[in-house]
Amino acid sequence: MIAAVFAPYQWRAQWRDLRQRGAWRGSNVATVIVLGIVGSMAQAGLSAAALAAIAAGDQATGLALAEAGLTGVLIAWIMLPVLVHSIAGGGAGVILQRLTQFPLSTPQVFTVGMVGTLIQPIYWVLILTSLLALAPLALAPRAGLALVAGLLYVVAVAVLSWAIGLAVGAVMSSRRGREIALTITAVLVFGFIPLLFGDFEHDGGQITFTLAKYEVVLLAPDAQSGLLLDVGRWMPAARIGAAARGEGAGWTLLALAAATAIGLCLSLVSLRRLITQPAQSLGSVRSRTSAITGLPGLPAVLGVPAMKEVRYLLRTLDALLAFAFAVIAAIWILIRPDDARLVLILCLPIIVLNEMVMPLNVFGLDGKAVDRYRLLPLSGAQVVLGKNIAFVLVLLLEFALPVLAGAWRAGVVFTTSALCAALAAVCLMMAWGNQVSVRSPAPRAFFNFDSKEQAGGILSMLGTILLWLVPFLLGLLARELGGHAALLAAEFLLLVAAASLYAATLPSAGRAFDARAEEMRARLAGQG
Amino acid sequence: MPPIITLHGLSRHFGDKIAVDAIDLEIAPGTFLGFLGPNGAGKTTTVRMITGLLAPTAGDAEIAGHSIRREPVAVKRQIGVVPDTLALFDRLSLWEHLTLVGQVYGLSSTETESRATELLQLLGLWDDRATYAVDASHGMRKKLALAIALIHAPRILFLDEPFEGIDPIAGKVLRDLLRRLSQSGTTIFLTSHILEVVERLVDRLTIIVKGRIVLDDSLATLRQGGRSLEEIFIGAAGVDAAAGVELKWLGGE
Repeated sequence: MIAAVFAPYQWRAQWRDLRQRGAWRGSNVATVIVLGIVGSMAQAGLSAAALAAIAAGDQATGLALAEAGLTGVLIAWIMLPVLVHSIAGGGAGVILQRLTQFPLSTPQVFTVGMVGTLIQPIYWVLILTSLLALAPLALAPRAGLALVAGLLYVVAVAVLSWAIGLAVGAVMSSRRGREIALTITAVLVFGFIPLLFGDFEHDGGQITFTLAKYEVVLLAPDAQSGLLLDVGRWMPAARIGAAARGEGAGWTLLALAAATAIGLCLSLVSLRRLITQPAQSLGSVRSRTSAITGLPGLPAVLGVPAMKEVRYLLRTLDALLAFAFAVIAAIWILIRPDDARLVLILCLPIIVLNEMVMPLNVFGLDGKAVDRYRLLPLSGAQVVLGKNIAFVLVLLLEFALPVLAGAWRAGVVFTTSALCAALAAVCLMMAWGNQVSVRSPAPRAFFNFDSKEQAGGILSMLGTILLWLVPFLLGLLARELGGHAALLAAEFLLLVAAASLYAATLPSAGRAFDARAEEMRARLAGQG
Repeated sequence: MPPIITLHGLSRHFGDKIAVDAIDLEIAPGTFLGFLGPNGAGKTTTVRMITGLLAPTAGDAEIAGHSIRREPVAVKRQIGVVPDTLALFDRLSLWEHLTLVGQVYGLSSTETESRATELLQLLGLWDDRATYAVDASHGMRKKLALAIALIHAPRILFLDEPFEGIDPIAGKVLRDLLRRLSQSGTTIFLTSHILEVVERLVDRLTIIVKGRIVLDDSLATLRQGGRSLEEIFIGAAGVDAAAGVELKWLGGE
């Protein structure tokens, strides 16, 4: 079996990779494993409770808990490939595209990728968690059938999670696919706009939504207590519970087998496309044949590289999504003036955090071309500053519509305060991101929302998200103490302080860029 | 005339491995130097150090009077480089590359566009100017890297394996261009494994083996006695120890 030939090399490559990557990415892997172990312990507790309930004769509660656990397994299998290498992401040292030079069929390439994924320690934790979730089924009335259905459920979930990841990658690698995906996203997002015309009402524990003459009860007080237990009933895990009670077991097994087969077929079709078709590029022919020019008032050594970077950033999916979100937020602010302030202070962080990888990994899209900056007559600080100018320009473009709408509906003072707060957070992000970008850069793909290999890892990302609390809490405090004038003054002073901190840290990032040529190149080439 | 390139004890270690071992070299302005050596001899490492892509472990390089350690930006204003990796931005078009680089070197946008047009036409890339570097063929990428190296009319040109992977027509265009540049006084530092090309272009030859310079002289002097460049190279670099191994199992039934 071909996977057995590759597995020992993948195993060695994995450990060498972890050893060589050092603390930054090591912490990323470690964080995911710690989170996985915590999840696994929670699952063990849930399974123990389910076993105790079934043993005590409360079969309904026991199986409901088991279903909730199996739903957790489903969510974990979907989320994990987002956090770590997906099956096509070159995990454990094998980039699947490179296997096309060997006489291997697509199923064989898929098997090699699958083995490469499963030998990662975090997947051991996930498999253990999945087995723990199956444990309560051993005491079910139809234990044998329930365990078979449970195992098939885990296999189906794993295969489907890979299939979805591969299918998204395949769709996003073609221009037409991206257009279709964006259209569907826009239709779905705009489909929610009618919700903006309706009213949510809280009455005691009950939440109702009213649109025109129609009223929908979303949450009733008596449902709250059972809410957690009933989560599983909406998910496929409910069928496993039913099979354990002897209800519709045959249909359940058939459905799970069919889901597994569909997942495998989808995986193979998507993988074939991914390994044989190069990703098509964004950017019109017109934009490619117009000269890159500098920015008024800036020397060419800053303005021209900055405008190069603006073009690069605008050719990513993250920027397109941010613009779509900005348009929706602006419409929301315009048609719901009562929500304008809330929407404004929410939409600015969402736009920035959607593109968080840009300031946290400023050389990610350059790859090995980072050498080009070193061949040009630019200092490290100029290179980094050019990148940051480009990011701020792109953000200002994205902010334009919601800020203009906000100035009209939420008032100029409040909107200016919100803009100052957002820019202060951006300065802090860039000050931190520049250090991470030169010390631990990672190659980025243009055509997927690639959150797997961010420079600095998960802890850095979490820190960046928490950083937004600074302007938010300061704003709350200032408004309580002195109203909108105090709010504006506080956020403006914060912006000045954050910009000063950014300026103070820029030279050290520039020096690190100059000193770390070899390490950066190796990491950005995927060799570090 | 003072040398335009001077290497003083230039060294590079990678852990225990010594890639370049304290080399000294002086190159006069206008020289067309062929810098040869077997695989892993230290050619690319030397070029990367001289052009600022790699920090030396010891020693220094002076280019046009500027130290690569102390004044790297001043050095980069004087040189054009075709590096081994080509260092192209995947999602910039050929045209965007040239307009970016020209203006960073201080050319006006009009001058940059004029030079970019001429370079792309000369190298047969004009019709593909909207192509992203990632979508271009290897030969096109090589030619683009050369155009980038030339757009600011540098005094010194460093070319790391420029003839690898390009078609014969482009090869001839490149040879003619380099000959013209050399005649006009540009100093050229060329590494290549294609000895026929080197033989036709360079006027001085330096051979590096295991990080040390083992031969450095004018080509005319080296060829006295009618020796070919291949004989000179093998004589200096030594015969490969594996040359006597026969692969009897290859090519059988």
